[in-house]
Amino acid sequence: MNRSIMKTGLVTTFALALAIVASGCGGGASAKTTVRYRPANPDAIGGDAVAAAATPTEGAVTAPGEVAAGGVGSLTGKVVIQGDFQPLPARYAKGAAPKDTEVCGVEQIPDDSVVTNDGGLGNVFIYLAKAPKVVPAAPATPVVFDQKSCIFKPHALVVQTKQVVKILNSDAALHNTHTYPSRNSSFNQGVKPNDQMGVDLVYTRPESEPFQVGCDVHPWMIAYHLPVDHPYAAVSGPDGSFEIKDLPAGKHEFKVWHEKGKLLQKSLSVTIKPNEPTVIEIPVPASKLVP
Amino acid sequence: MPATDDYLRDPKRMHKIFALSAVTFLGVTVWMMWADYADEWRGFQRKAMSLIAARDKAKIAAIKQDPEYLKQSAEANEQVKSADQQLKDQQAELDTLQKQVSDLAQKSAATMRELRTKRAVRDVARATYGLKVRDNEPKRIQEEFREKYDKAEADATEFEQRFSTESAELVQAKAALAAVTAERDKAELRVKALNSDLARLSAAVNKIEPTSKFSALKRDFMLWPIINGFNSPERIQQDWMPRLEISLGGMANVQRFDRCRTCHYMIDAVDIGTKPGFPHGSGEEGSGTFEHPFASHPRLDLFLTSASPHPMPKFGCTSCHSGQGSGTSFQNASHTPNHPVIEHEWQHKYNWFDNHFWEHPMNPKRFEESNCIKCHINVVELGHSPKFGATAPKVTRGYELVKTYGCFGCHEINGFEGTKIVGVDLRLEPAAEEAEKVANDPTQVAGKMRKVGPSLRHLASKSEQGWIENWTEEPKSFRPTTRMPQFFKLTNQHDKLAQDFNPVEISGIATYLLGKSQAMDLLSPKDGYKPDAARGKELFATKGCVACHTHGEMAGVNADFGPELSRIHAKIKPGKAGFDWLYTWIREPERYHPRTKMPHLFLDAQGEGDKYTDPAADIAAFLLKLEGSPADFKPTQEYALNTVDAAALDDLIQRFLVKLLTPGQIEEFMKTGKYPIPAKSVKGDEIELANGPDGALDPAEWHQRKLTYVGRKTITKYGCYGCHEIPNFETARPIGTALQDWGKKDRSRLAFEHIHEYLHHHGQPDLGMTIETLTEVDATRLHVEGGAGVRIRAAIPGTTPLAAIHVDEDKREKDALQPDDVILAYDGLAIVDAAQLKAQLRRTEPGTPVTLEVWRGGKSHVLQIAPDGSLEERVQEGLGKALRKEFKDPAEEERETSAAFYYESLGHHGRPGFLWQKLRQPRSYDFKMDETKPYDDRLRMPKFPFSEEDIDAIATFVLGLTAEPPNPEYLYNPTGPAGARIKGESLLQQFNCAGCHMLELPEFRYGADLEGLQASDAAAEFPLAIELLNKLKPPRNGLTGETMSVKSGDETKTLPVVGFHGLIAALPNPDDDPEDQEYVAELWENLKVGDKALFPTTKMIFPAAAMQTMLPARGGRYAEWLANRLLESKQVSQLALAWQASPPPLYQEGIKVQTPWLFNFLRNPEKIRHTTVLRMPRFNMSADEAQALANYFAAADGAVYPYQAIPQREPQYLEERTAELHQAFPEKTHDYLTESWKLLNSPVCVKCHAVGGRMPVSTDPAKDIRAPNLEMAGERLRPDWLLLWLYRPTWITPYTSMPQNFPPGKKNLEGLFGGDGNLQTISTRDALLNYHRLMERDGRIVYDPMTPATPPNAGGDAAAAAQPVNSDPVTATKAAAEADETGGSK
Repeated sequence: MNRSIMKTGLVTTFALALAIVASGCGGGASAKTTVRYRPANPDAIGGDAVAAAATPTEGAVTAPGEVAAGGVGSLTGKVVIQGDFQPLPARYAKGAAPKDTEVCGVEQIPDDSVVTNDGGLGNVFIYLAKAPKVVPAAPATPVVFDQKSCIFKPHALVVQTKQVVKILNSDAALHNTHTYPSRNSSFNQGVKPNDQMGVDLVYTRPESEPFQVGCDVHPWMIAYHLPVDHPYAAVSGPDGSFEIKDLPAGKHEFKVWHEKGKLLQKSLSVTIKPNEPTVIEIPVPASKLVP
Repeated sequence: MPATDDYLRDPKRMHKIFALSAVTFLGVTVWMMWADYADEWRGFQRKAMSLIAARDKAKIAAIKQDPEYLKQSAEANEQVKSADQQLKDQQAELDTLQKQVSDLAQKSAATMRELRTKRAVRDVARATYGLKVRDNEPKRIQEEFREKYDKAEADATEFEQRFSTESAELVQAKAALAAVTAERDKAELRVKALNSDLARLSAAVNKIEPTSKFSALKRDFMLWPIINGFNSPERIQQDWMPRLEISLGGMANVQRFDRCRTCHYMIDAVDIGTKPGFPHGSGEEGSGTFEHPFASHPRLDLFLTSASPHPMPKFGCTSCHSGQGSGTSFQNASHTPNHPVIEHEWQHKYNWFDNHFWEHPMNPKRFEESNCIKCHINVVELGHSPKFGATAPKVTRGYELVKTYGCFGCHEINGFEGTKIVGVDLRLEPAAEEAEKVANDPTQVAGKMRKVGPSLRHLASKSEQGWIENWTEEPKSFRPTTRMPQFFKLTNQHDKLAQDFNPVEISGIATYLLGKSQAMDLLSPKDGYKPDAARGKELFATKGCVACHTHGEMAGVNADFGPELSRIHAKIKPGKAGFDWLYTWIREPERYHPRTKMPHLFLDAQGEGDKYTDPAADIAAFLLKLEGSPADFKPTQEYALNTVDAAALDDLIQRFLVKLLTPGQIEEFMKTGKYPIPAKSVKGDEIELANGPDGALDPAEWHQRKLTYVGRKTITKYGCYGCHEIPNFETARPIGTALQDWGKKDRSRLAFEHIHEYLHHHGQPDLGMTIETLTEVDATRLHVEGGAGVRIRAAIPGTTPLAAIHVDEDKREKDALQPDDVILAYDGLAIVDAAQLKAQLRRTEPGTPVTLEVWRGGKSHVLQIAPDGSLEERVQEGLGKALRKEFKDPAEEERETSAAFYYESLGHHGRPGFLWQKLRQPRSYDFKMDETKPYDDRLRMPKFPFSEEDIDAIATFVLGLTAEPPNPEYLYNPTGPAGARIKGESLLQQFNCAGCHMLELPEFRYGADLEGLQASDAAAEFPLAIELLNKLKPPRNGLTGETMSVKSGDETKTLPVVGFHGLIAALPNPDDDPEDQEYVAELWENLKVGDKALFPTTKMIFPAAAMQTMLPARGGRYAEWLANRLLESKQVSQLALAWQASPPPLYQEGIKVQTPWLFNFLRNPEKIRHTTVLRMPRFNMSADEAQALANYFAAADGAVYPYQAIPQREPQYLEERTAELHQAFPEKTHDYLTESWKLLNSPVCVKCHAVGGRMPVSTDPAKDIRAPNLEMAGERLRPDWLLLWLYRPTWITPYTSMPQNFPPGKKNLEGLFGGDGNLQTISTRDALLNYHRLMERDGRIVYDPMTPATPPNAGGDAAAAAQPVNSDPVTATKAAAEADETGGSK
């Protein structure tokens, strides 16, 4: 399953748009398809509704150019678990979901609180602690937040403020999406069964740390959202790898956060050189991931 | 003798004498007139007027400089000018019109004059004709006069018509003229309006300082003596209150005249709204404040103004302040200084002296609230009023102290004379034996107070003799926070006699109580159950115990409603019996006492097998520090029994009997134990002696009998039954002086005895040395380990040093404190600074032994002292410091000047002083008296743990008790909602509702950047939802009208202050940069800031620097603590969920629940929420109390009570909805409620709520959000509230997990109401309100659009829409068709 997540993770809504940006800027450092927001469970993103929304928009294309006066570079890296960590058993085996079993039981429900593959740690938020003075406008394309087989997809979601989060329900059962932000108003609406039009959720204020999102009908359903007021944020894939593109050159402070270990790094200092990828490794002691 | 030309006296000389005497008399007359004229008040009034004129002039100047005014004024003048210009072009037309108007006016006026004559002539003719008719003149003559009248009438009518024609013409002409001059008239009106303030102010100034010479002259003339008797600008201002009489002490009651306004000239001057026009303050130049008598009343919203509840013409001044209203000089008004320092000042400034001859001197500032309770007999509204806030907090505090400490147990405060209200009523409720009699007696009103102490009826099942003796002797030695007063070891018990008798009395009390204790049915945990103390601790925290009790192991929460429980394990009797007592008390407290304040917490055993737990047993184990089984329980402390000296016991008994028996009888009785009077004839406590067994005297039984008798006598003497229920004392009367009219008690009837002599040398716990906090230098010099303590600096000259005993192992030697001694600990409490030591000293009863740990000569010593100093010296020192202005801490200055006030009052045999010392040292009035009075007559008042501030508050209350109600129309004892609020407020306190629940949310005030505030988007909501929100929670203006300067980065901005109610969501993070530190709070109210609407749940975010004040919530401390505890211990993951697990705020409860439901709920609370970790306990509430409390919540929120209309259950409403349904969805044949029932049973509500007997599936009981059973919703909730809740749950409770299920712009369940969210929301509400009817009629059904054969595919919506709407996927216990039929037939 992890493998399939990785594969699809590389092809996303933004792939096209960013490819154009990269070549358009003439940076030339990398023309391969990369993502800016890479959800941990990107198979949530897919299907016709989303593909239709993937048309690059002007804001997303031109905006990064404005901040790139001193040149831009990318930050790539991997979050690595140090020490022994036994992968968590599934929360419910296939067909064992205690509620709405005919819908929730179609696949096993994993315990997403620690996702690891190949020694890497997934679902880690890596984000710039403070927005730079000039920030590109939020992309007009929405991010999709789906609920399928009573699992939130993706489990960890980073979104720019004012960008639309489209909440879908791919299950034939009612879900309610309940957010617990600290600076934004909380949101709690029922999303009707099989809703592919979705409910739009917009965060107006940035948060300093990710917050929990749940479904009160199915208490095991938990995800994390992080609205930030800039595009310089990523969520690590299951193997712990992440990439943040188009960072203005210079010194930056990042925060690193994981739902079990909470704030792993309060200010991770990284210097970005123009047109050059900076590669880092973020170690996380396994002890931090034990409840 | 013939007349001669000679003069007897020399005329020349006589002329001189006459001339001189004439001049002298003239001089004296002038002087007399001058003296009469030069009253003190004139000076005040003159200055007042000049201050008013100065203020008005300043206002005029300000207006004239206001650029907005200048701009507008210029514009308006320009308009006038241009209008004039325009009119010039039409001059000819204007002239014609004006001429026309004036001609017509003249003409019609002339006609009017004629008309008046004609009318008169006609009236005469009518009258004359009438006379002829009356006199029965011949028909001919009558007709003649009738003709005359007709002619006159015709004449008059003609002129009437002419006049009406002419005036119509005039009106027309005027209109024509006005049409031409309209522009100019409008412009002139605007100028006038702009200048109206100026005109008003100028007129006011002109009255005081006329600008025209003639007016000035006239004004001066009017001020001349004699002339000033005729409407002078300076005059006595007098208010007359004919119905508020004043008693002139035994002579007569006279009408009240208050002339206070003569000097307090601006007392009712308002500025904008009800702000004081002349705010009180230092009166310094430029401060904008004024000194008395030139200041306005600080609370004009509450007093004096006509819109206030106490308008001046009705209440005057002296009805509240007392004093001599008719006096017009400072002295005659009977002003009273607040303390001797002010007195000193007044003596110099006004030649003030204490006037003993006026019975109602003005209340000093400290007692300014005393008189409130004459009319406000319920008191509570003075401490908490939604409109005015806490208006008289001090007298309220005094009242609460009296209530909490149960003063009324001994000192009855009877607010009734028969059934007539005379004041505050605090009386014990009648004992069960008397209750019915009192209830049926129309001339009596029953008391309402419960005894404040626990019942001692079953004491033997709880504690043992040793503990009881120990506790009785000195309760605070066991529990420092106890409210139980101390009866022993007090100042009149230091002599040999008392030392001998006291142990006997204490032992007697314990013996009596245990001997008379009645058995009670105890519960036991299940056999073999092993209570778990650790689990008990968790339950103790989460089941609400700490909402009332403090416990050492529960950090961060203190409650003093119930006793502190940290040491309960040292009190309960050993073994299973002791454990079972506590277990029973926790599980079913009403078994111990049916009227106990301790509620029933529903701590029932639960689970089966391994999962079986008994929470009450676990909590008992925690409190008792139990490790093994209940049978192993052993109290953690042992108490030695008092040694009862047999001789003392006998002596005491003989002293008791001396009033009843002859010496011979006593001697005989003491020998034989046979009481000389038969038991059935004995009425008093001697029954204990008379009830001896027959036969030979058994020494043990005899000893026991004597002790029991002494105990009973002692209980009678000290009145223990005033607070505790004690067998055989059920109907005993309170022992103390009644207090209902103590505020006017004749001072000669107060027994001051030798109190002055006492206070000269005693009465102030003190070391008799000067002290200071140990400095670092001294610590090094004296090698003090730890470096903290208080150093003795020096002896105070002229003071006898305090005696001390040096305790070393078992050696005790005389010693004394010396300079450079460092006090390290006081009675075991580590002392670190001088203030702390002083506070400890103040809390000590003077003369009681205290153990000090003292550092001397490089090591620690133990000294025992009895701190005792001179109150007089303390007062002198305090006064000196105050006069020299040496106090740095205002609180300390207040305390010391207060002490001086009371001490001086004592010196003048004043009531306040007597009371103060009585409460500080109740037995000090026995100083040197105990040597001469019989032992039994010694003072018995116990010592309560009151601080001097407490005593000040109690004095304020007690001095207001005069049982002299003003005219009944002045009593404030309202009915209706205001009355319900008052009753409810008392009950809230009685049951400590605010211990768990927040009654009002915290209020935040901060400097707001208004531009940055995000308004809520009303357009995104259902219009009806917004309408309902504004109806149930009318928007409150968030702008406070204040501003504050806020620093942000380098700049400082002046920002308007916004206030709002809400819960804190995040505090500033100290790890963040200072400019990033911010508060996040969630708004709970519907707020309006400027033109921005902010709906509940809006996150209010503001920088830490912008915070002005955060007013704490009213109540709910426990809920907050519990929520944080649950979050910190990770039992829940989110603050919102933690709040859902805690007692909910009762915020706007009145608009939420139906009053009849609340009544029943309070009597018998059922479990509502499954998310809470505890449930509402059952209080032993009477029906009256539950009703009053239920009414309170509705009244407090302005909701209708006691009955609520539920139109949604009425046929007309339902028929209309059905008709609408059929019109919009013709294929539907069943009725509206059937459709609603399907909705309620659709897979939305049932996901979390139990509906129609279907329980929601539970996954993990610890994490599930299991919502309340919907069965009770229709009886519990009010229709409007319920609808708003369904529209937007978070608008009502921001932390709720209830989602918005039918949001605007979304279609769900399209088979029902076409998926219209608005209709579905209303329909859900209606189904809930008709739940029971539907359950009965349609029964259980399941509506699920997902279940039909067509499998759900990607286009779920399409599938649902494609279904034939009428074949709803309903499965039901009854056939759906049947349901339709019954529905349709309605």
